[in-house]
Amino acid sequence: MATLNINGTTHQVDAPDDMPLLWVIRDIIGLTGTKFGCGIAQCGACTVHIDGQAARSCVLPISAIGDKKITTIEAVGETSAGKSIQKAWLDLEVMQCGYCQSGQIMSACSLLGQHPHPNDEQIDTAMAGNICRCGTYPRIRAAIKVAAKEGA
Amino acid sequence: MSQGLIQGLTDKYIVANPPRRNFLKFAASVSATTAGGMVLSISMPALSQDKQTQSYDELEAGKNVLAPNAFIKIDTNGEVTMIMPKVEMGQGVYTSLPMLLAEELEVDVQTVKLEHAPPNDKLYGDAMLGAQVTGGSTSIRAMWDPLRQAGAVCRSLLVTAAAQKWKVDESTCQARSGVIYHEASGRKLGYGELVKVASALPVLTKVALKDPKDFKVIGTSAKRLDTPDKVNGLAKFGIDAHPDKVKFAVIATSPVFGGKLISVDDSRALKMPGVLQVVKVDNAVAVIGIHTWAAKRGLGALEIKWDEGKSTAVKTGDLIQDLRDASKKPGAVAKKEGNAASAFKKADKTLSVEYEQPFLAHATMEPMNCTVEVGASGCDIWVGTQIPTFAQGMAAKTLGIPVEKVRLHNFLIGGGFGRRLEFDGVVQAVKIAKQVKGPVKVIWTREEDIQHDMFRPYYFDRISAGLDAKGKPVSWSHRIVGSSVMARFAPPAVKNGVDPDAVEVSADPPYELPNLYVDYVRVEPRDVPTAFWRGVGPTRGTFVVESFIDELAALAKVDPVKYRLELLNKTPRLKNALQLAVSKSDWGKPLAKGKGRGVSVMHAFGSFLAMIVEITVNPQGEVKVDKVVCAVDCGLTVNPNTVLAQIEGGVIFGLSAVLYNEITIKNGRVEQTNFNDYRVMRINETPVFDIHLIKSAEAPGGIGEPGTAAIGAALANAVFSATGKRIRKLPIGNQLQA
Amino acid sequence: MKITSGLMNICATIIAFSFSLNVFAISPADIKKGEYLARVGDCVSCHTAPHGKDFAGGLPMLTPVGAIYTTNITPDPETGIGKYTESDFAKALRRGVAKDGHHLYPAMPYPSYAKVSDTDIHYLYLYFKHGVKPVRQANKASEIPWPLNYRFPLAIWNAFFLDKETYKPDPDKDANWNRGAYLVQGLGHCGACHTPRGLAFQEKGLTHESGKFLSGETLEGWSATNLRDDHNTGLGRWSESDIVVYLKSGANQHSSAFGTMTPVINNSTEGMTLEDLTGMSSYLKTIKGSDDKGQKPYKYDPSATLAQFKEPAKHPGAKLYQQYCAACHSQNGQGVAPYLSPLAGNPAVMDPDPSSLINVILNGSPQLKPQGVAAPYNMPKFRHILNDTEVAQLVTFMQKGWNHNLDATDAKQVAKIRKMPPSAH
Repeated sequence: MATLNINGTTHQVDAPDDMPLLWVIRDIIGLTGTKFGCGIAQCGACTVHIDGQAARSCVLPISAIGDKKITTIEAVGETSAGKSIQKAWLDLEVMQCGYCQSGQIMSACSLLGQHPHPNDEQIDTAMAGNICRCGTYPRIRAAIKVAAKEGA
Repeated sequence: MSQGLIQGLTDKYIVANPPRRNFLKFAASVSATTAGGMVLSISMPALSQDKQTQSYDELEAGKNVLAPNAFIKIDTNGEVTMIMPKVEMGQGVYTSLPMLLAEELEVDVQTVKLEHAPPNDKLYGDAMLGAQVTGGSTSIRAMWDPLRQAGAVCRSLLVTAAAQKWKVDESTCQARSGVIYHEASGRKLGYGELVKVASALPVLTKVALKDPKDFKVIGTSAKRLDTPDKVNGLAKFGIDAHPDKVKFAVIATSPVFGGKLISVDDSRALKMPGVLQVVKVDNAVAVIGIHTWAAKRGLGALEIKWDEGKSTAVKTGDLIQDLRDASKKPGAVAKKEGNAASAFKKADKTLSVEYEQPFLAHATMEPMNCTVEVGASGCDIWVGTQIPTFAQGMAAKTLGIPVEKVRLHNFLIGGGFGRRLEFDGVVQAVKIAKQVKGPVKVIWTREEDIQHDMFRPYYFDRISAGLDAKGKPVSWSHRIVGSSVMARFAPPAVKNGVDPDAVEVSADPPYELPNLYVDYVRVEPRDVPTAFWRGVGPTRGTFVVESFIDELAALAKVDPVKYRLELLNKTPRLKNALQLAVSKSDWGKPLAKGKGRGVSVMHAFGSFLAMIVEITVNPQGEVKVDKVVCAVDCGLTVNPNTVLAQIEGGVIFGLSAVLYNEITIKNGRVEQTNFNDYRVMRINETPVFDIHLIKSAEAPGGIGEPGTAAIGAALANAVFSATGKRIRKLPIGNQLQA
Repeated sequence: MKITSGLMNICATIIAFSFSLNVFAISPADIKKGEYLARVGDCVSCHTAPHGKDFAGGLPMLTPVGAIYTTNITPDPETGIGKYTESDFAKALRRGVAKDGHHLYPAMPYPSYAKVSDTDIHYLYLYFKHGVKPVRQANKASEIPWPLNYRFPLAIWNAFFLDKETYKPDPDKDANWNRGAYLVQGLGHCGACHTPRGLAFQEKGLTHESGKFLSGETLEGWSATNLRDDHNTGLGRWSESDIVVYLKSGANQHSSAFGTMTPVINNSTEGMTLEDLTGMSSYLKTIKGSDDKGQKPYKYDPSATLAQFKEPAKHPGAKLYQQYCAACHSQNGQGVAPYLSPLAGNPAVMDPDPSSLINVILNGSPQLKPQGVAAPYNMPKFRHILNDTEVAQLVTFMQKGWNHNLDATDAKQVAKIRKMPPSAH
């Protein structure tokens, strides 16, 4: 039994130590906003926050989490960065199919947490790990800048 | 319908953060019974949620719903629900199609609620495609009239109902934002208040549509309806289906194409915690677990013996050789105008070259998946599919049960690009579920998804032209050699051996070419399965035609834009687009070392595009795409912002392919596995876009694919401009490296 | 060899070829013993081609003078070793001389196998004769060019470098240690990869008495680490049980097996008994190092490295690490042992030769599958995504990072390894 703090709620889960957080969140807890994309941390669709920092949940064994706080896309809107990112995402119509966007938003929120006014280099560093096959990248960059401005 | 999957799941699981009431209610599904072409009653699927499932009839008992056709339901609260004949995979149809309906229905498009349509070709079929299919950039083109008619018919019923209530002439009543007004008396009635009366009226088959100059919704960048739930994780894709007591399956398919399963030693797997069962289907093994991880770990503990069959030694080179050999023989004639052969002999200068385009995977962000329950009452399928009726039919055939017993619940799609036009994953999941008690969610790992995709075929083109003394082409012959996806997908479309998709654009180049000969040789890549891929024929055809015309311009020593403009008189909309793109770009200005500029034009899907691309090639031979200038004439534009998004996205999708992507085969198996070796463009590589929409009153064109189709040649031509090297084989890969 | 005509035939075979031993019947238990020894010797890893049949040979082995192909050691009489007598077999294994008299290239670790006891040779012979399925598959000629392909000098080579003594137990050590030394020096042939080779391709030491024995070597673009007691680059910080856990499961709190060590774990050490593994670790821990050739003893300190992530523009290596590596191996370099290998303080990262680091980034690692169960996470390859400069930046980041303070790697070193075929193992 592992104890996980997800979105402010404590969950007791019966899962092996090596099980990635992704599948615990999706298959056991039932929060399906966090997506499976590659399983090798190369697409970012599974991004969540661990103590506010972006982490790829598909390669994060639950044994490594301990009592750190997990935030998923379903609750990121409760943070101020989350709110402004979500709003900018909608205002700029960033999304197409939307499958990767939970991860994009989680990475973007984590970026704003570290760099409230990120430059292009910092955006590239934080966001290059998130693949979008629909090609929403130009709008993601623009929306991060809008969110940073409005969050200021 | 709010007891759909979203509600069921969120009520149950998201305790800490109760969701707001969902604006979009993607109800799980409906299985429609029809009478007189109208959806009168809709039953809820067996969702196996905690509470006893109620049928929609019961839920609606005592209420009246106005449902004059298959697309609209209005309840007595005035809530308008649209049944979506198409599926949303990012292209924006869950906004643009409601806009068509709302325009004529006179409702605020932002208040329209959406439901995925059940499988039903008769009600939801696409007139251009002949079935309920989302693909080929046809959604707006095919639904343009039917949905506006549907809205107009419903509005006219509501107007008639109000006029009857008020005992006034219909012409004195006006519909606006879900309300009928009688200006003279100051009276008004909401649509909901008119439902009972309106539903008793006879339904007209056709009413007059608005003059486009009166459009209030069409032509605006209305906010997307599907996105509010996509920023907070509540939107449901097929992979998110979570019926009660669902089990999870991970599969291994024969690594060699055409291979078969001999045996499986599952003794270790069955001892792994959480592994429930190991299931065999013809060429695959599935491990069933209490969650995906257990299933995946179980799969890694199997010892599987495959009969690798006859393809065990096949490599890409063998398949290319098949094409090369076949290219020496004449094919089925797709176009013959004048006499290309004799004109070639008389030409002043000639050029004959070959182009090759690789196998490609779709690599949708949402890996292939399908959730199925096979039980006594039939079969439930939860999947995001571009072909709900085919998938339903194939499932019924696989199980040997009547099609009505297959309830297919469609979902949002996490990327289609043609992959979800296929039912292979559905059939496989049904075969697995047949052996499992209760619902089972089959998820393909990314490795399975890449290696067992159905691939964009390898194409081999031989093309030659002769120029007159002024450099104009007087002869043009083009032979296209490759797989016919159409022959498998829609055999009647292939006439006299010509696959219309394979020769699209090639058989009808936009240029004035007096002596034109185009033929097609069908060669299937042995056991490698092939399928449509974003931009279909035009992506391949445009790459060849636009690369070759560039080569001819260079041969004639004429500027490539000028060369094209002189030949484009028969396609004025394309010529106009090219002139616009050129005027918005730096075309003709000097280029720094390592920089290049390339042009291409594209006419397909009823749209006209011109593109100018600027690139930098570094000393290591790596290409950076700096800027894409694009002029677009897609006729009357329904949602301009969606058009821009589709061009941006289509170009980026195409760039990944042209720069990096190829599926290669060795020892009968695909060599690529995941995003680490099937490279996809990332944000740090993305160019700047400058897109210009041309105002037009012409019929709307498709826009999901043109960006992808146009970019390849523009980029290859830019590489020539930067380096002097012609790219005749894709991807560019490391061809420019020393 | 087909076992067709019953016991008489088998007995005849045994009597004919095993006269030196008091064995009059083949018991399945003895074949089993041989199977275990074949596993200890990891015969299958080299004598099986990719997608090929077990023991049928055909795996290319890259030597400095050209590729050679391993041979068919199934009991097929035409293409394999079906006609070998036990003494032929022993001669091939321990002396490197095939039945027809030709000398084997010393890629076959016969200088190590020379230490194998007669009893073990016998069990191995029984297994290869009766426990392995014959496969008809002709051997492939080597690609070593003339005149280097001329094998006669190998006899002279043997005169110089082959110690013909079988293992002699050290009476001052306990049985556990002696068992370990026997396995490490002998059948386990650890030195074949981990001991530096001289100009004549000979291992520069076949026992712990040599200071070079198991001190690390680079073969086929992989740097096999130092297995001596050095604090930074050797097993100095590993306990005996760390070593046992590593050999049994392929990973421990310090490191995970990768590259060419993966098949060694999968096909050999994972199936060894705890007694044998304990013996090996006990022996290995007594082999003194050389104090990391003057390097300061490593102390973990991630602070300077963590600071780099805040300024990606100034630290291209950190930027790349963040994008491609950090999700598994963590910014602090600690990974999530034993699933995702730590990099900080990992002897394979602290190896002054970056070949393995470069290689594993370019080519990933084969799937670790101890006890027949695939390890939960696997290192992917990045050769299609990262260019030589980027790989060099990444490797340098790791060589400097977390207080490692090693020398930098340049793009040329990466280019060299990129050109080598990913190991066929």
